[in-house]
Amino acid sequence: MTPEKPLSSRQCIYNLINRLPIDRIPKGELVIDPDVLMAAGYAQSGFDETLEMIHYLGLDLVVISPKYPTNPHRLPTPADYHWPDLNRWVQQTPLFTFAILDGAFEWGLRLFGLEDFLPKIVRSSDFVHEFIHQVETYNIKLFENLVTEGIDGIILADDIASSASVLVRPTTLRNTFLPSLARQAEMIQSKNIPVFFHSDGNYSLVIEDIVNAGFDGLHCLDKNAGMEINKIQEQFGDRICLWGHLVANDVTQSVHTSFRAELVDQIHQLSVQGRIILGTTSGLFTGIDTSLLKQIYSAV
Amino acid sequence: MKNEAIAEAIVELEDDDALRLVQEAIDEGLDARDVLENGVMAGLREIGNRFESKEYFLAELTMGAKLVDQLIALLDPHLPKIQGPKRGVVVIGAVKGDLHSIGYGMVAKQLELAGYEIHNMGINTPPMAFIDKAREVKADIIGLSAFLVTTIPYCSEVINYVRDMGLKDQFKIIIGGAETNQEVADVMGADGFAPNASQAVKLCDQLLGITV
Repeated sequence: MTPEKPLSSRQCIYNLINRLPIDRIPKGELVIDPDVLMAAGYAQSGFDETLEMIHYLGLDLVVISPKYPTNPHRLPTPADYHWPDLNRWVQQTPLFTFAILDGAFEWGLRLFGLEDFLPKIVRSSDFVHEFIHQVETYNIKLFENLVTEGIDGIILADDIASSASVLVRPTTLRNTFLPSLARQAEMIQSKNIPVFFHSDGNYSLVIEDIVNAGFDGLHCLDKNAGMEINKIQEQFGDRICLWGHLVANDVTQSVHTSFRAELVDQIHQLSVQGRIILGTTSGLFTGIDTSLLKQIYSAV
Repeated sequence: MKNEAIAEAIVELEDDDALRLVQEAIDEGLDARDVLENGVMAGLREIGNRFESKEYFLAELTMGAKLVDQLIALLDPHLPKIQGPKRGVVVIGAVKGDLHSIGYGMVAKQLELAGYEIHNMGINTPPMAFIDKAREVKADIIGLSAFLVTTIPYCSEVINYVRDMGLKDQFKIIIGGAETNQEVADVMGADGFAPNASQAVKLCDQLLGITV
């Protein structure tokens, strides 16, 4: 059933997540890189310019990434965190506002580097458990601050996979990182805030565990990494929202009318079969043609 | 027996055992090249097989490659120096943004042992640095390593610069690294892709029309 009045962006995403009627396929980007705004002719890349780009593309959500000082081998303190324009996004726009919290895997890669962190996971379970506990406690503190600011949703971002597969053994993920993500998801949802999981790459070996962890949605779903949205929807679409799907090649190729028409058809199919938020898998970075992307979004 | 033990220690990621066994092989006067080929590289190949079959993951691949780098450093002074004409000249390194020496170091060593002159550019190499060095040493091949998805675009950048500067006929460009594959190479217009060090030698031979 379609709502009588057009839904606000915030309401549209809310309804989608909560299985209530929606009047369109909602759209959203994980990132809008400042260079994209510059390439579009803006002199600056602040709140107003980002909002204009969001309106131009017809997006329904915005994602706020935190800023913090970088310290080698040490997490910043919650007091160091700054969420750019969070209050304005929440109070002054009709957009559903997500904030990103990084998971322990992501933090480990950032603080120690891939070459040091992966062996630590394999060789030292004490270190891993302690580090995961540290990040979990830290995220809960950050989340509590975000709730008081009126955040609409959380993305727990943990890049646990490369385009080939997960970076460490699935059993290691199941015994260490995933239970912590599940606890965080449960805590966030206990405040009636929806929570999505984001990872790049192909995490199909543990996707069932991630769905079972209780997330409201999954973001990215990069078909170039073998994460086929059709198959994922078939398997888990009744339990979880799927957000992403478009890759750079879809945007480039949509210059051809027939390609775009077929792509739009596929997207409509997906939206009939399950709950989807349309977006690129990577977010908007230099090289993505925003005018072509707008044509796709307008046609959907 | 020694080579088998070395290979097994590598596959099991037993760093101390592998280092001890290679040192023993050197002390016993075993042929360093044979130890490299049939011990060290055999172990690494098995890690690659296990990675392919999803028994091992990037963590084990990274640890194995790091260990092998240490073992090569141990063997290096004992490996034969190539005499006579060079098979070709290769400029090789990790592209801009990529801080991982894993993998391409082994490719460089295998190529050197096969008779190639190697110019190692190290990690985080800007696109023009590859091209400047290739022109300076009159390279036949530029080898680009990208360990992460995020650094793959910098391989394209080198390829585009070479094309735009009208140098495409002078250098062949090959790519490799954990996140690359033949399709990625084809899309960006590279002359070739190699999944491992021994394939890289075959690829370079093939590109230069060398039959062994």
